[in-house]
Amino acid sequence: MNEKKYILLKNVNKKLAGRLVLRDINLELACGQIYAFTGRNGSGKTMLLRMISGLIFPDTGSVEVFGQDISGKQVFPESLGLMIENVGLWDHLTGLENLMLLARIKNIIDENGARRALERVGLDPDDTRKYKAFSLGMKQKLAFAQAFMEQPQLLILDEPTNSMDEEAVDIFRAIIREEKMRGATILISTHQKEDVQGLVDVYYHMKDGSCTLQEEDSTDEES
Amino acid sequence: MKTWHLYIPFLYPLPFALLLVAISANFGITSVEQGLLICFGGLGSLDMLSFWQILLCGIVWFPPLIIFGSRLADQLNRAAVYIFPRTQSRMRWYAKEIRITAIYACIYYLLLLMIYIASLILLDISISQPHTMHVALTAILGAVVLNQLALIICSNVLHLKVQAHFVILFLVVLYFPGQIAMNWPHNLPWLKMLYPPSQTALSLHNIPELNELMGFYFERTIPGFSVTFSVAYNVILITLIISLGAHFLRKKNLTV
Repeated sequence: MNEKKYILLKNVNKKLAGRLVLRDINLELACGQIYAFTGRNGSGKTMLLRMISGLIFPDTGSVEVFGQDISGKQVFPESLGLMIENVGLWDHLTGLENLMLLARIKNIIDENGARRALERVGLDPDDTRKYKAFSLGMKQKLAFAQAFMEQPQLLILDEPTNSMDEEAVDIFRAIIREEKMRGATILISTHQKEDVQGLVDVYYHMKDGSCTLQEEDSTDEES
Repeated sequence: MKTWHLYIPFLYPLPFALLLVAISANFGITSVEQGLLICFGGLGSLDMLSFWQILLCGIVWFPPLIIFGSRLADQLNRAAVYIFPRTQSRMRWYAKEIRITAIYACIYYLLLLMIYIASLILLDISISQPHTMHVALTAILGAVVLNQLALIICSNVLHLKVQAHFVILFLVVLYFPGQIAMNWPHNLPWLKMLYPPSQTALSLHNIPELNELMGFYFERTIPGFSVTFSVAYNVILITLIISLGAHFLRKKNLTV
């Protein structure tokens, strides 16, 4: 097995505030696929994505992302686009200014690239409103735009379709398809399974910190 | 990109400086140096023996802590998700944010001092010893400002957000040790030297022309104390806090 083409989690356990949030997780995710993690609130979906993104470290076990060991170290996967639920951008900046502030860190894209990302999600790059005046749906679109704008190898999206209307969900689905065709590996956590139906290659179900493979068309009432 | 909103923090010192002028007038000061000693000379601003002194203490010490003390904590959530995965270097972000916070805090105090002195002069309260004024200002900068800077950096490193925690930090780190130091028996005079706000008064003691202004503080001073010690002490204090903070942040498992 070429480890550089996989995301590997081996015997991962994580406790937070005395509670086991991830329980004996063993995953082998091949690159270039779309994975969905479903489950109730508090089942561990977000914690799992944060673990893979490098935001938190396992208490036991190891996490390897495309050959890079990120467990217990102050590193993130090299090419990562991240969208985490309930984390906003900078209130005093416009949508374009927010993207440019982030784009200048790596300098992979220029202003045209940021504008294209905004247009793709259905936002106006020339909108002069500050982020704090955005609706929830607009904020969600902007967070999604910053995640994919630099064409990362790994896209991690936590509840990406929250607060999105039907049209926005259609746009989201189209972009996910394009990103997959580009070769990105996409991990999505959601409890709105219908938003990602037909897109996802593999479903995992989370319950009480454990992760089990799920058949795509199984009718799991809990999710 | 429009940046005018970045200059709003420069207006913060104005109301506080004017309040200090009003309180100073209540004390019946007759010179700018006396005003500086009462407001920033440590012993006066931290004795808290009366309502006016408590108010003075609050105005001098707390606004910067509240304005700047949680800057890093407020930014951390956003930075951890959006910036750290792009930079691969959290320490560089921490260093930059603490540097910016320290610069803003210094500008705040410099503006506070300038507005205060200018307001007193406009009220016909003059500088009585112009040739020693620079010493008084250096003493204040060396002790009070640097010490406040240490407190602000400490607050940011500890990720304090709740304002009640700022009060606890101030009381535990500065006020109570200072009160003990100021009132300790005379056989342990070195304790007074470790209390930064009193260092201002201690250093001013060496200026004969200002001795009269010291009033009852005179007996609590130490002969030979110098401004150089005060500045060096506070620089070392800040360096220690930053080093400990960097070590603490390196160990901390950052979560969102």
